[in-house]
Amino acid sequence: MFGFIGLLLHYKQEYSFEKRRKQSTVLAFGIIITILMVLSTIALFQVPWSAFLS
Amino acid sequence: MTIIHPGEKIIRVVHRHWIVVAQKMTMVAFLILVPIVGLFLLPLFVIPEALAALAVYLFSLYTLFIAVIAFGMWMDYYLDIWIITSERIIDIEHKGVFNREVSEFMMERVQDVTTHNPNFLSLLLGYGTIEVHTAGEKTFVGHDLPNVKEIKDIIIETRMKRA
Repeated sequence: MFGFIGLLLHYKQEYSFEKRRKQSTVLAFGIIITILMVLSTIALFQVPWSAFLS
Repeated sequence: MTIIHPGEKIIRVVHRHWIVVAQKMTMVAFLILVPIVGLFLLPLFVIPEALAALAVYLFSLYTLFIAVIAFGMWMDYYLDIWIITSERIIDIEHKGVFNREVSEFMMERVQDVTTHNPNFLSLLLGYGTIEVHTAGEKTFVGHDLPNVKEIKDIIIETRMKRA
């Protein structure tokens, strides 16, 4: 995820001639995906896997 | 890095029409909405706690997957670009996150410009496909660009000035 943001910051420089930038949208996506990754990890540890294995 | 030559003037920077990304995002919203409804209906059914926890985990994984796909779609829209300058046309196209293609051709090489509105909606909103035929073998195609007729006129006018 941080790699993607780094990539986009590189492209921000690359596309610096363009006035219309929507960096905030990209950051919003980054934050949403990071939150979802954290929630998925929490949800993973909430599942009682032993109940399914036995 | 795309370098603009001294004296070169950027005439127009063109992204895809917003309706194209809006259509994709509507589909994504629908794909996320369906399991959200399912998750809210889950307490109405009597199911084992372990199974409910598994359902929540699968839902979060599914949402993450959809969010990554939506991000890819947005990136494709955000980074695909046509830059029309007084000297050339630069076409930057992303085919995935790390696969990037940059083409540019001089205005002097432009021979024909074709525009195409593929459906009713594109005709109504004025977006469509533009094909620029050059003296070389390659034809440059821009999909779902807004105001294609105006872009065509700009290219033709700039080409005439360069002649």
